[in-house]
Amino acid sequence: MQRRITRYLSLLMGVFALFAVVGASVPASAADDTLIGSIVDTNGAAVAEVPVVVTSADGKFKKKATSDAQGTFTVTTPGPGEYTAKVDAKNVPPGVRVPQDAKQGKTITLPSEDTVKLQLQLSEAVHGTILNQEGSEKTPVAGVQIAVESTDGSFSETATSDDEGKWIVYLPKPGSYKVTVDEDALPEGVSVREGTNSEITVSIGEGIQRALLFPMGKDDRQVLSTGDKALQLVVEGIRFGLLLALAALGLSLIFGTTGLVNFAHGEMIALGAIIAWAFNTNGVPFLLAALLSVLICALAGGLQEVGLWRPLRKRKTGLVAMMIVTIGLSIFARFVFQFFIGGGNESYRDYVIQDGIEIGPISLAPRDIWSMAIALVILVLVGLFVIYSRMGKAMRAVADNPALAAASGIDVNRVILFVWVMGGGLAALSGILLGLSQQVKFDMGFDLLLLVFAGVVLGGLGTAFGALVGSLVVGLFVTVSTLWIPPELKNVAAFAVMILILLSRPQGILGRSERVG
Amino acid sequence: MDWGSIISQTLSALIGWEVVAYSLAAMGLNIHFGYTGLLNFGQAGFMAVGAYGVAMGISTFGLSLGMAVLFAIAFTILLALLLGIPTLRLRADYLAIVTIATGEILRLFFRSATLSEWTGGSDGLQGNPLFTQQFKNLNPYGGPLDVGPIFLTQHILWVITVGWVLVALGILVTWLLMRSPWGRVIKGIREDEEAVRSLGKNVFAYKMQSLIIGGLFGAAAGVIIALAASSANPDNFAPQYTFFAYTVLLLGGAARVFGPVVGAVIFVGALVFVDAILKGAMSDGLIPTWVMDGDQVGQVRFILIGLVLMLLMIFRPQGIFGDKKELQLDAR
Repeated sequence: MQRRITRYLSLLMGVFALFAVVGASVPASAADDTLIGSIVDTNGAAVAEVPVVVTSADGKFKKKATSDAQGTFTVTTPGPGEYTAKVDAKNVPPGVRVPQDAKQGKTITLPSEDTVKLQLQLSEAVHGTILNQEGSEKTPVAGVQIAVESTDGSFSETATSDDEGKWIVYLPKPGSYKVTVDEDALPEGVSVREGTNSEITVSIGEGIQRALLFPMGKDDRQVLSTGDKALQLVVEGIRFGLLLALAALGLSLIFGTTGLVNFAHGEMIALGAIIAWAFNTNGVPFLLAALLSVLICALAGGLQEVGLWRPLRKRKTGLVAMMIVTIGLSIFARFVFQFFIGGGNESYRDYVIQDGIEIGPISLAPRDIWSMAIALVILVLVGLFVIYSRMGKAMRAVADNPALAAASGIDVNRVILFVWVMGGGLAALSGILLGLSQQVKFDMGFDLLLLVFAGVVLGGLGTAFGALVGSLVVGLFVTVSTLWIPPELKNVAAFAVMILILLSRPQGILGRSERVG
Repeated sequence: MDWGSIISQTLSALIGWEVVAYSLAAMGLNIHFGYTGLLNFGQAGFMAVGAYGVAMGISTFGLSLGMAVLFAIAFTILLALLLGIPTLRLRADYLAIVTIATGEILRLFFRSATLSEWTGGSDGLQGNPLFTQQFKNLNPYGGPLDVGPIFLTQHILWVITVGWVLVALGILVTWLLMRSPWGRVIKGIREDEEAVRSLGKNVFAYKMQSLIIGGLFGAAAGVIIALAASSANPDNFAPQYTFFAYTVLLLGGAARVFGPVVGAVIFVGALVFVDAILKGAMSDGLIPTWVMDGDQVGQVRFILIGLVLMLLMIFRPQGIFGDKKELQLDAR
């Protein structure tokens, strides 16, 4: 539903953008058998060199054309009839992206006064001009190599500045990218100006083409040492670890109180991010959207317990059988998400584009600092709650020995319900905050699930503080290890450590050994 | 709606390579989980090793087809040993986590750009020279099969011929094994490991043998997938395929010799049928576009799989033909 509203809205905006450019590039009239079309981008500017395929409704006629500098293309057809013009998505020039409706094409019945209007999206890009400053005089520098790498490691490309010092790199999707000037390959006599960074991490929103500045000067160049890089990664690792810990806490408490390994926990993470995204893109301010999402997901956790797990426990369903039920639930939920939001990456409306704040050698976007702070506060509060509150004590009692806890007057079902509600809310918060730094995607939770498991296992299954410590270790390990190993293999290292821990010390770093059967 | 085409698609799918692959994968799980009680969540890893063993053997190391198959078998046994030696002592839920993580590690390695020289990276290994060429050269069929509603291309016909022979062999092996003393010990381990140990049996060795045999079935499934698709692609071996194989196994009935095959036929048949019906209804305009569009049809089948897996496990854990007494699912 949500997706459809967004789609209509963007269509409407596209139509407005089109109205703005009609007239500029459209010839007045056309012959009966001539099909005229125009190609514009999101800003309404003409796009040249775009290949277009025109086919007749019966498929007998097919012709290719290319848009000229005014964005116009003309095809002479065999005669009146229905024709479809679509963009040949494979051969479009760099810098634009073909949305689904332009790929599918627009249909026109000739003879017609109208032109076929196809709108393309702008690709995300980073670009800039490298200028060498001597005194007050600035000269462009050619041949500087600029490496662009996405922070999740899925994309990397290198550009070289031209004679005017200009460079541009088109990006595959919005997100966070690290842009680095290769200081070792700088031309003679040119260096990065002292006091400025040769490495910038930027967040690129949808359709944004962003200019970046790398000032050059004759002063001593500043090199980002391995130590600084490691420091940056440590901070990012702590952030990731804190977010993992939010999800891991719920998973661990659920395991502790019921013995259930919940494979659908990843979907609870994704649900939080998706609900927040749905509210936010439909106009609810982000903070309110996040709050609503946490509440809804906490409710969903509770409903899950009351509607599914409690009846199953009553039927004396085995734990392994219940584990397989959680897998079914995970597959079910994941593809329901995809059904509604599609398979692509989505981002929130708010807080997408932020400049990093420099703290010493570390650069962090304000939203990252905030999400770390929020996660830390919530984790401390939950920790205090588990230690000091009556409910927290009851939770630990149930985890220790459900039968004994029940015998001493604790309402075990109420405690378990509470744990599910809390787990749902914490997982949602984790997903919402993760959606800020990466993207919202239907399988973002499942991708994370094994890392959450790793955190829980490392700290000791079923212990709240173990989950916290274990997640921090996993977050740090995964992030910092990219100093030495290729980013696409960073999870391998975490999984390997998890396996080693399970083999050598199954009770985890903080677990007690008698817990193991 | 074109019922002829829907029925033709479904019938062709019933004997198609997907049924073969799911049967073999689920037969492996049947040995692991159904008979031995080992909760192996890394079957996709065994499938990947089978597929990549053959594909890399031929394309990367230049072996002949026969040698590549032996290489894949050796690779699989090595994986089973590496996986089994440390983990078979673990509790069911720990074993599940370790095996799923191992499957993911393998997939990430096969996917990684660093090793793409050998594995083809995320695009998978189509192979140069084409690794299916020798297999294609052996094809005894002169043309495609087009009998009544069933249509199969020449290549697929050859793949599924080999595949069904493997399935038949697998059924025979499973049946023979499970009525042998070895099978009785294996089932004993499933019911009560300590009791078997107290009779002086080496439980660990039996579990390991079971892991290797079941893993080989999984590897055979991977080989069939690689041959049918003419490529070994890492994303064909994502963890969800293990779970689909579990759905197949539980549909047909765990600890039943014919369970996996029956389950695979029902599973694939139902999915293809539902898919074709939905697409037909879509093109006839029977489903308004605000309910779903063409892209969303693909998701419906996965939603159904998830739902079926849940409902099966809750209401009929022994599957359609299983025996409830055979299946002691609580492994704690």
